[in-house]
This record gives sequence, C-alpha cells and structure tokens, in this order.
Amino acid sequence: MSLFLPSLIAVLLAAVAAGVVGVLAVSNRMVSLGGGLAHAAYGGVGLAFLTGWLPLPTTLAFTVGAAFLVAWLSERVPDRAETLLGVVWAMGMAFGVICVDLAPGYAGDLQAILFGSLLAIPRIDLWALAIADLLMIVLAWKYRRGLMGVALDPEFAEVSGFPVRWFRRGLLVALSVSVVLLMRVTGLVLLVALLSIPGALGVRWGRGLGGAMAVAGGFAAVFGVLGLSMSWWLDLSTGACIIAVAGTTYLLATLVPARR
Amino acid sequence: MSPGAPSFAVRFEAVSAGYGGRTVLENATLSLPRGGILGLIGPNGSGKSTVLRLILGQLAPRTGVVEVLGGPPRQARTRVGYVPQSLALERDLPVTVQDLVESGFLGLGSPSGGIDRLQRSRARDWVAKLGLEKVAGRRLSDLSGGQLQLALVARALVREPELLLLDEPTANADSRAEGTVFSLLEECCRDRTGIVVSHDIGVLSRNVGSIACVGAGKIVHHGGSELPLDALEEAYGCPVDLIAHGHPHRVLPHHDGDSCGHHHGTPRP
Repeated sequence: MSLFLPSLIAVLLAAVAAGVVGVLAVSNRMVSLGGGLAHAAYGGVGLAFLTGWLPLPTTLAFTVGAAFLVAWLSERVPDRAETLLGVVWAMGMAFGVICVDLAPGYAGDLQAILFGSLLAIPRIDLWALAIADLLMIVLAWKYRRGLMGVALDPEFAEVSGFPVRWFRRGLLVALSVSVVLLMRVTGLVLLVALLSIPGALGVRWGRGLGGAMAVAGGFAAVFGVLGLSMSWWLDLSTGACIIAVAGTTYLLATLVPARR
Repeated sequence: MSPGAPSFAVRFEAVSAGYGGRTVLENATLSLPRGGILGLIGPNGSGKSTVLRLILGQLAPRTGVVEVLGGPPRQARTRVGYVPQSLALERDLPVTVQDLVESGFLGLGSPSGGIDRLQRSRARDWVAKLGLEKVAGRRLSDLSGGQLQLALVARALVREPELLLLDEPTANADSRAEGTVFSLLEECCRDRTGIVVSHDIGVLSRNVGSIACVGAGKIVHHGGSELPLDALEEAYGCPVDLIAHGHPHRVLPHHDGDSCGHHHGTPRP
C-alpha cells in the first residue's frame, strides 16, 4: 500500500493536467504537436543523463525549446508545419539516444521514461505536478474567454486586435510542461493518448471551456484509477493499462451521441 | 491626411499585392467614402479576399498605401467588425451561440478576453435582435447555416464597428436569412460603412448601394449599384450579358470556350 498511495496521488494529479491541457490541445488542434513534443522531450532526458543535470528542469527546458522551434519554423513555412513537427520529433529522440550512448553507466531507468513507471515516483515530481495543476487551473480560468475565442476562430481573434500569438505561446508552454510531467505516468510513447482522449471526451460532453475541462479531468481520473488498479492486481504496466481503459472508453463513447 | 481632405472609410492608393511570385492586385485604387454599403464582386481568384486581407491588415501591400478609417489597417482593428465565412469556425467546440457573440469583444477590453456585465447585456441584445434567443444556449454544431451566419453577424456588430466587413455572408443562408442580414446591414450602415464580398451579383445588386468589381488586378468602383459592362467583362475575362435588368439582376457570360465558371446563360450573339 505504501507504493500504491503515491501512485494514486500521481494519477489523480496527472488527471488535472490532462483535463485542462487536453481540452486546450484538442480545441486548438495541437494533439499531434503534443505527441511530437513528448518524443522530442527524450532529447532532454538524454541530455540530463549525459551531463548529470537535474532531469526535470533539463527536460522541461529542452521541451519548451523544441515547442518554440516548431512554432517558429511553422510560422515561416506554414505549408510544411506537419513535416517540420515530424523532423523535430525525430531529431529530439535521436539527440536523446546519442546522449545516452555517450553517457557512461547503465541506462536502465530510461525504460520508465519510454513506457512510464509510477512506482517509486520521486516526491519532487509530485510536488511539481501539484504546483503545475494549480497554476494551470488558475490561468485557464482567468483566460478562459480568450482561450475559447482563439480556439474557436483564431483569424477573427487576430484581426480584432487580440494577442493571439501570446496565447499560442502560453499554450505551447502549458503543453510542454504537461508533456514532461505526465511522462512519468504513461511514458512518452503513450502520452499522446492521455492528452487527447480525455480532452476529446470533455469537448464532446462538456458545457463551455471550463465544463469541458472538468469533464475531461473527471474522465482522466477514472481512467487513471481504473488503469492503476488493473495494473496493480494483474501485474501489468500502469501506463499501458491506463491507456487501454481510456481508449476502450473513447471507442464506446463514439457510439453515444454528443451533447446537444 | 491633409486638413480638409475627405475622410474615407477605406482608401487604396496605387496598391500592388500578392502572394509569393503571384501578383493579385496591381496599381489598384479605391476611395470608399464613409457610410453606406459597398458590394465587392469578382470571379474566383480575382482578389476579393486579398482586398479584405489588406483592409484587415493581414497582408501588407508590396507597393502603394492602404488606409482604413484614416490610418494604417492594424491601427483600425478595434474599430472594424469582420464576418468571415462560417467554414472558418471550429463548430465542434463546447461553445454556445451566446458564447460566440460574446467573443466579439475580443481585443476591445481586457487582455484576458474577459467581459463585463454591460458587454454581456449588449451581446444578449444583439442575439435577440437577430432572432436567435431560442438558440442562444445551443452549441454551434446544432445550428443551421443561416442561424450560424446570423450569429457571426451579431458577433461583429457587438463591437459597434465603424467599418463592417462581410465575406460571403449569405453563402449558406436561405432567402429569409439573407433578407434578415441585409435589412440589418441597411439599418446598421446608416451611420457606418459596410463592405460585403460576394460572388453572387444578384444578391449584391438587390441589397447594396454601390458595387465594386475586382479582377485583372484592378478594382473598378463607380459609386453606384450598376457597373459598366466592359468593367465586368474585364474582371471576368470573358464577354458578359446583363439580362433581366431589375430584380433580380443576372450576369450571363458568353460560353464558347470561355473560362468563366458559376454562371448560367446563353451566348451573346
């Protein structure tokens, strides 16, 4: 039980981030970007492993840098945004692999980065997740109308003189933070599902942006608890169990009409 | 602007603009006085959207000057209302008609996008004025094309703009919604300026006071609702017959191997 409780706290904290940022990612069609950043983040993990720098801030800085690189390149070559994302995605991973190759010692812990591991999750990661959740809730509430307007019709928002570019940059940072913090729960390979499935369900059944985030967070919490329990009793990988529950629910949900 | 010079809603002075290696407007000139509604017609790809993008400050001219409400387009953004084509919207989001109309205040007040009680009340008034009260709480995905178009017009009008730009505002609307949109525009544009872009000259000639034609890199504007035939022919790049003069007007092109689309009619003898 001493291992189960921190894991339970971790999935519940992760559910908040997945709910808030997932709805924003789905609404702004940034899910692919989230998936790309999750993989590019491996470059930060490798860099921290090679240099001995603190993993969390190193990975976070690397991921934010990758996000802004994609955004900067996409603004210059908008027709090739998808290709550019693919390139940054692959280059981040390649950089991480090379760093690990160059680093002395055994890289066993990196398996947890790829596929998630809630066992023995560092307490500092839980605190970081809790603080990030709080910040995201406060900021999403304060800027909810602007966020909704930008998601709904970015062209109208821009020609109306609204600072769309700053909102997009804020979203990139929020997405990068979520990617890095949720990596522990599902691993970077499966992370895109945690960013997209609860968000898509929230958008489908929520009322308003806040309602969608609440619904998405609720779904993410249920997926987390069920997946964790399944993993605990069947001795399976937690991240894979969470995503199996989420994916099954989403597929079943497509049979139910959306909210009118 | 020199003192005593006339105040224009929109002024293009020898404007050239385009994308990449393609030039869409070349040395185009337009002086649109304040007040009234201008219809902007032209064939597909003629540059109607480019004119809108220049006015909205989304595109900078390569040469020449664009002035909107007496200054650079970007400085006029808070005084301009824009009704885009409804296809540009993300209709699947959890957003109601009331939310959509309230989003018209973006850029006018709080940098967070928040609105105050007065603005919320003004949005409600516009929702009612456009006959959308019954669907105010519905999601956008549940609206008909005409209802969505009216909601987009309401979103632009809550800004109380001095210049209103509408891009194909009746493309998805039935004749009733078209009537509502244009009678509202007529009422609103007594003390402001409207520019309506449409490929349908019939809709425009029924509803606007003056028409400009965009084509062959130029903007032809004579101030009235009738355009000379040679201007239409130059813009559309083919012979044009104007028949059934009255209501509705019809533009019929010559069809022997010409490149005009979206028109029906008989060849001119």
